[in-house]
Amino acid sequence: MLARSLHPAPKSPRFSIPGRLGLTAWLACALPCGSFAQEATRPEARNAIFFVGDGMGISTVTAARVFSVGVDGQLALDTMPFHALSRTASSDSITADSAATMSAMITGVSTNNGVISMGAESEPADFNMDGDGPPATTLFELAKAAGKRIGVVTTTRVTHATPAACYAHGNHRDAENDFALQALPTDASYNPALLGGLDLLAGGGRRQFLDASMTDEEGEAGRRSDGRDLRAEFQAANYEYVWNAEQWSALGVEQLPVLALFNSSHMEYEHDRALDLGGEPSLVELTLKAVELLEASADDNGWLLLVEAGRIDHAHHGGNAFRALRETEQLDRAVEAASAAVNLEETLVLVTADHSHGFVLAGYPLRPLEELPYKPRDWDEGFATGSARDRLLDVAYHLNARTGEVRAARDANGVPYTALLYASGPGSRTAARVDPREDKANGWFGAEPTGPRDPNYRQEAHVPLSSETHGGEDVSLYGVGAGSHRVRGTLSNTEIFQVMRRALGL
Amino acid sequence: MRSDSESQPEGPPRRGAAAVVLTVVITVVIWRALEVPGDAASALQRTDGLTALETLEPRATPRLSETQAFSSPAWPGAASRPSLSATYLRSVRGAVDEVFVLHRDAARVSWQSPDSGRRVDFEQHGLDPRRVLSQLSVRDEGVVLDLALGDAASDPSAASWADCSLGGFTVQELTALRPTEATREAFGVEFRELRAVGEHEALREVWWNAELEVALEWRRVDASGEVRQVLQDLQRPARAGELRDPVERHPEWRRLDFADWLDEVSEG
Ligand SMILES: [Zn+2]
Repeated sequence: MLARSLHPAPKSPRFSIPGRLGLTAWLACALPCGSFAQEATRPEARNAIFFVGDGMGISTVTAARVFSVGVDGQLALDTMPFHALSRTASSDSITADSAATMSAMITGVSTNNGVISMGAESEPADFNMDGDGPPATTLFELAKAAGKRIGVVTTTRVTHATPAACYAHGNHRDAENDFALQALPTDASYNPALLGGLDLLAGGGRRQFLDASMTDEEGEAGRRSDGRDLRAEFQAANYEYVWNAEQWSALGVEQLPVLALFNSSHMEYEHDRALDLGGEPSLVELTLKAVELLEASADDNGWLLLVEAGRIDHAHHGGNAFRALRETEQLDRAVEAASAAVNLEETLVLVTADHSHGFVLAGYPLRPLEELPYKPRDWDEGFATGSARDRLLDVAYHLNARTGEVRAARDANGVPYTALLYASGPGSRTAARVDPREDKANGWFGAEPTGPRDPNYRQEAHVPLSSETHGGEDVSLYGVGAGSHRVRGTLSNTEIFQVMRRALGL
Repeated sequence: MRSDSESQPEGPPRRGAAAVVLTVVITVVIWRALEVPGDAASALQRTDGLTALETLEPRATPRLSETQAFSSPAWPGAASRPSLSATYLRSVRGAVDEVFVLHRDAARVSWQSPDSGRRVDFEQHGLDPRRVLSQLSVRDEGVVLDLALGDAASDPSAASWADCSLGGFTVQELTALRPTEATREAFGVEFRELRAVGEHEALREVWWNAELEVALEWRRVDASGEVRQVLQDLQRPARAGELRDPVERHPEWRRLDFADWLDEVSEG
């Protein structure tokens, strides 16, 4: 593997974009269509990495930039040469969930919220009891048929909506025990379109592989009710099974295929990762090892990898921007590391989000004092020190242009406020607003935050809800490497499938 | 099979998210920061423009044998801890008093807030006895929610087996206090006064019985005000059935991860 610049020379498109009718006809045909396309011309990309930040809306990326590298710093995402907006509405909802959006991105077929890689004829959980539509072919199935190595890496359970949509099909995202069977080559429920099977499946979710009567390596019980231990069954099907960071880092190419399950449920937040009993790899470590194994094992047909930062979404739902931004920072570092580790002349790297959140960076917070292009006449003590991250998380400070003084910005009642806010969620304060620096009442899991810069501070929310909600606006799609020039304009999320398919010649 | 992104406006109604604001405030806590690694933070302070970016070295991760990240005291020994149910009246910063019940035996701890219908159940971890597995039950929602290690650890008084057994403060805070000569008797038990040495300790005083490992009264003061908890009733052993697994206690309730529940109530 060679480290390459993130900026290979742009290439001309080698495929014309088919009309909608032509595309529908292509999707309806069987897998060998991909082979035909390959014969016509050599694919631009041998490999592809598809990064998904679950819930990583544009405001999250912007805030993560300030949080991670400063106001003028550049995330790896910022340096990617191709960019588009992706529309995220699902077949039945203006604001989508991860099941519908990942299904759309990985099959090219729009579907309903809650549905995993089935078309829109399949309503969630078949509530009409009129049967499901056909499964929609996933990019991973096409890649496998074309002889590629395929890997799925996530920080959620590996059977959660986003990873499951790559290798399984079902009318409801909650059927996680069934999705585990769809990845097991020796099971009657196995997804035959995976042919020889996933070469790599890594993340959390041991409970879906273990009967409730069994206890896993970290002392937690399974959630299956069929008496089975799928860890053993995957091993019997020739998979190497690992469950902690040490084993993960020691994996060699001869050990593929690999099933890696690091947690009973979702992997820990990056902020909390050090607490894990057995030791979990970071998303950077997950990504680099996955790339190493797939690259070392692949032939000329190459490989396809999903990397999901799945817990940005969870932290936002809980109204905690700090954890959401740490997760986003990890995704950015994984993108950076992977882009440097692969040959971008033969590898497509895409990064996007499945949907946004009702998360805003508002008000007019000043930059850190030392970054200001002028010297204020006076300032509040709280503004005297602090990085861009502090200015992002803290109460917003404004300049009074008449007096030249920097003071905490105040609402109509004279109470300071933060720049990071949620439209809804558990951060809603039932009592009257108080200065966020004195607000101890609403921390993450009962913590009493020392103020808005505290990692356990929950930002204020307008509408009181148990859980903060997804956002419906477009999200960013970033591209670099072979075939990334198609990332432009405003795309439907179903077209992201087409960008990858065409680049890979599938 | 559809290949476009047309939306169907007549989709199924979205379930309204519960109006209950979930705040796990049935305990009184202090903040103990989980450190952001300094080297990781400094490595990210880059503003080097559009040049190619170097490959980052993966950061060291904790190993099974290296558990210093989980800095929990071994004291007090759980195996010998007497079983009890202690009912307290808790006054939080002048707000209306609320009832808080601590149930405890050698293997389980439960914090109950009867007024709110919420409860946190702790079970000592089978592999690392310093740790806890914890579940939040919400009566109004009919759910038993599994909390992740990091979730519970955000609340220092729930972060470990030893801490959660005390029901409102940490072992570290307790051991920082100094005994005085003052004693009081209540519920047939003698309690000794423990007082903070300096002015900076948030936990100001605890009336403590070391044999039962239970407080008659405690008081903490921080910038946001005073919290006081006073024992109203003490039963030994713990009330029957209170320390059963919450899934057994409420077989009809749904059990899922807290994170998944948030996703679910949000997405309907
Ligand atoms: Zn979500």
